[in-house]
Amino acid sequence: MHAIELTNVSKQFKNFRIDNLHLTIPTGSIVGLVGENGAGKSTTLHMIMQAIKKDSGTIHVLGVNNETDGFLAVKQKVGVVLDEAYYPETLTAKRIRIMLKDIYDAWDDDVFDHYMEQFKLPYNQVFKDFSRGMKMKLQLAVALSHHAELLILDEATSGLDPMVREEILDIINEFTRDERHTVLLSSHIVSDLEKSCDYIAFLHEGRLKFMEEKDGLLERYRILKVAPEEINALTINQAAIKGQRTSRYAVELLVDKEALSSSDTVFGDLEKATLEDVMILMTKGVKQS
Amino acid sequence: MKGLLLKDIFTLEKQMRVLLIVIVGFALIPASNMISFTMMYALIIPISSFGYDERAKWDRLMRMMPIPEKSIILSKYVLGYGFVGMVSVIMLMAQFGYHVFGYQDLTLASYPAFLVNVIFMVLTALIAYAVLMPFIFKLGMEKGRLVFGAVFAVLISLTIPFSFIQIVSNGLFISPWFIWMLLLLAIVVNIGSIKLSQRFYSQNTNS
Repeated sequence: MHAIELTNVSKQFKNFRIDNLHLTIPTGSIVGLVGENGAGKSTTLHMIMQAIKKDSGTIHVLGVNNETDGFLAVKQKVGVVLDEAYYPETLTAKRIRIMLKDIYDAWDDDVFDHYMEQFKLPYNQVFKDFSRGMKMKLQLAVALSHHAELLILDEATSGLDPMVREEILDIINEFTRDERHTVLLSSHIVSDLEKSCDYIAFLHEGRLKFMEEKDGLLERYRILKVAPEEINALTINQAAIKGQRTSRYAVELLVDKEALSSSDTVFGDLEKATLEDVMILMTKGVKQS
Repeated sequence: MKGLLLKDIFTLEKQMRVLLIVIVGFALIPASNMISFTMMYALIIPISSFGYDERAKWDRLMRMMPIPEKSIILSKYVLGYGFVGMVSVIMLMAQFGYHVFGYQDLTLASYPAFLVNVIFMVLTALIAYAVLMPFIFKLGMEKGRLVFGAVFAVLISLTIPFSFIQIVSNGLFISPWFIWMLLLLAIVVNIGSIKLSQRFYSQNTNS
């Protein structure tokens, strides 16, 4: 079963379009939604939660179409952490708890208290005096305190120091120990996704470039560095080249290892590509720097 | 809806304390014009809850929560009704207090007249609130506040001659048919307003 399924989803904005998006998030996995700023990551997450209405296509979350009446019950099972904690600044954690108890049917004070203690968060301090790290931790505590089956995190680790990011990623990994639990995590901090995700979905200019298993992806792509004058002498299956970056001293090619043929000649060494390499080279194509 | 009301009450708590003192002060001034001022002033508090929400961008988070759109809209209306109701009770109690402490001779004949006067103001306030709300849901707090200023000015300018005529004609505007008509108008305007606000809020989800 899939936790989330987007089929042919499109949404037109003034200067931007989510175009015919197909995305399937397997239950029990951590999926990283990656892409540059403005690629459509947040819009996609908001459409999944029906916070923004799509123009066309269908979205199923935990098996329920998000346009049906039953979706409200599904939302009870979804924990959300957004890029900012959008609580009114005069609220305290104690009052947020009281308020959310009436919104989430399965709200669990004990779980909330557990995370408040683990994150060392104060109950009576007003929200505006929280640091960014504290705000994000509070959001995560809230998201985990109503027995969610699906966690949606939108740039939850952005702007946080490495210690806090590590702590949050640990909690996310812990959450998916239960095989019914799924995480969809959007970020442009690629190293975070590399660390914790099972799958990577790459969104570029409103289109899904790929969604692949992370390990397979990192195994498949290689970087080939050659001198500019050697590039024409290179014999390589053009279909294997998925991206290129050119500077005065070197040309970097993103090579799909599986598409290389035995007759291909390769100058220089094939290096392992990082997720960031894949993203940048696929996005930029041919770039002079 | 209870959770949203709690959120607004928690958010407005400090402001409520200050404004309650002001409202009680207004209510204690034995002049019929003060009732209209007090009512309009009472509406500023629930309206300012939109300001807090907008500043925090609360709507972005709320739309992710399992809250029906209907509850989001209704909670703001209920908040307004609650404040108008609370102010009415404070004013009626204040008048009763005058009587108890001997500052005002409150006879069986004069109290119902005062009560009807309060009802008139309550209904006027509810109509004003209902007129304003769709503007806020459509335009946001800043532009909505300008509309509120205009509605407030028009209503106050209307109530001043009404009060004058009321004194001259000795109760023209507290006649039962007028109150019933006003009640009917308040109900119709509020139902229409809620539906319009829902439509505007839903449209915002599309953009």
